[in-house]
Amino acid sequence: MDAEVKVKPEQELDTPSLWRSIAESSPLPMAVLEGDGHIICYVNPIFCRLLGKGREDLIGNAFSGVALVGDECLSLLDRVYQTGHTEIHNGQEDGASHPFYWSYAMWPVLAANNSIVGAVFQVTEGTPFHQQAAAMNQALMIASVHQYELREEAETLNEQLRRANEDLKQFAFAASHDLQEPLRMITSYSQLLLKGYRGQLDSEAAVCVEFITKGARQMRDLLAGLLSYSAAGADSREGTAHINLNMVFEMVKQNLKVAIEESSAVVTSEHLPDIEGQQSHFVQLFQNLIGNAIKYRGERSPRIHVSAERHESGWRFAVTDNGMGIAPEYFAKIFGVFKRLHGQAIPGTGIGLAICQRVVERYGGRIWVESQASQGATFYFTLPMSGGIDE
Amino acid sequence: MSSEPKEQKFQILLVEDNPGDIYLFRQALKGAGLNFELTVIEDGAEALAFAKRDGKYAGSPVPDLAVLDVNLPKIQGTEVLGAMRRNEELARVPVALMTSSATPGDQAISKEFNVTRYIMKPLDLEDFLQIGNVLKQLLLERSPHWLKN
Repeated sequence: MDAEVKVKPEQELDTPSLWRSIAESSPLPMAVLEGDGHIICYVNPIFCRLLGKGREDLIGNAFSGVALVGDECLSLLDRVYQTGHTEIHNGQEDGASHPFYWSYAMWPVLAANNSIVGAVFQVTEGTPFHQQAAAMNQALMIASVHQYELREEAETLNEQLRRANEDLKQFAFAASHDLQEPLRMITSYSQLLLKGYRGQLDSEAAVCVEFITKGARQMRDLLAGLLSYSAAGADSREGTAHINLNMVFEMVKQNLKVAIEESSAVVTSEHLPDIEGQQSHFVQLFQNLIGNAIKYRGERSPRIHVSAERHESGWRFAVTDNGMGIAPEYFAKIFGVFKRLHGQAIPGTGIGLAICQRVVERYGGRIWVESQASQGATFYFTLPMSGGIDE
Repeated sequence: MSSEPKEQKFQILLVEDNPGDIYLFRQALKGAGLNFELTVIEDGAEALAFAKRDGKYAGSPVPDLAVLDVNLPKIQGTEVLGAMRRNEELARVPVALMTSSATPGDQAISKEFNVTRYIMKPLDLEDFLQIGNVLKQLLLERSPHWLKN
């Protein structure tokens, strides 16, 4: 509208073709909507370009059907109809569903009698579709590179884990086979010494030999524990099967029969679900938890209850007892290999809960305890629905 | 390794490399009150020669019982056992396999080679000495004619 343009009286400028040409050449995408249904009756070329659609695809259709038009946009449009005021929207439309930045303004189109017959919708800022597509592509590429790196990292970690498991397996094999032999010599011959020289060893010598025997026995139990620990994470020959945990519970009760009777323990269970896995792992798991509940009982006779409830993507089991409980500062420690809170007054190697943790984690679950000293304890563990067999 | 039939001594072969176990084994047999003559082979290669009845073992008496340690240096006890089973004279000798610890696959070996008894070496002395009684039982079951005399 500079000097070169011949200025004409307003009357002459007020023609439909002129208004149309203004809209057509606008660098800002614009649409005119008509009626309550917000039917598109006009779009300018840049609007078409923004949406990547032809004019014929847009005109005559409801504005709500146009890509990127979200609820927020439509409610603003309604407000324009109600109030007759211009509405301006800045920024991202409907965040989650439209990861696309655009700002727009809308104002009413008035009929001769000043009634609102439609609205102008003008995009004041936005990223054209093709740019958006490029940006999205780039984002996808970044995401996939990231994913690739994560996968590589996961593979490295898996490899490390596999190696660590392999090392542990070999170590456990050595422990159970090669170390067993000299240990047996120590045990047998110190016993032979005590037996063969009964009355001939002075008391000090006898005490020394006793300590050798005791140490060797303890070592034997530790090795046996280590072997079970390694087996708890390994695939045994029995393979994966459908397991009825109610049967596992009964087996465990049978295995612990003597301890249950001696302590007059009452061990109960709710109905437990079936899972996929290796039975020996779950026998170990329940036997250690229930066995511990009996072993670390309080002054009352033990009451132990096993329950299971559906939980998010799987099951959450609980083994609750009325025993001596555990102070919260030891919650993490008790799951460590050979970690114990009690001296020799309560026998044990400290491998039981480490085995439990290994079993649960092998199936993709988690184990933890909630307790207070002398308040009883509840051991919880989760198992994913699939059984979590990751092989 | 000659014995007078009238003494009715059991010929027992022990293939074992650990002198500590050899001593304990002998104690166990004595403790069981068995009348026995024990031949000990401490080396896997030697044991294999015995199983094939090679060299100095050609014509040596067939034992009433062979006790093999599974874990021998150089040659596995099972190899010795396999060679015994392939030898005509030793094919039917009762064999007890001894190990320090159970290994997966032991059961399969026992079946394949017709192992009479599978013994895991006990950690406790008293339990080890019980092996003598177990083997005595085994020998007596195998020799009813001898009992009747």
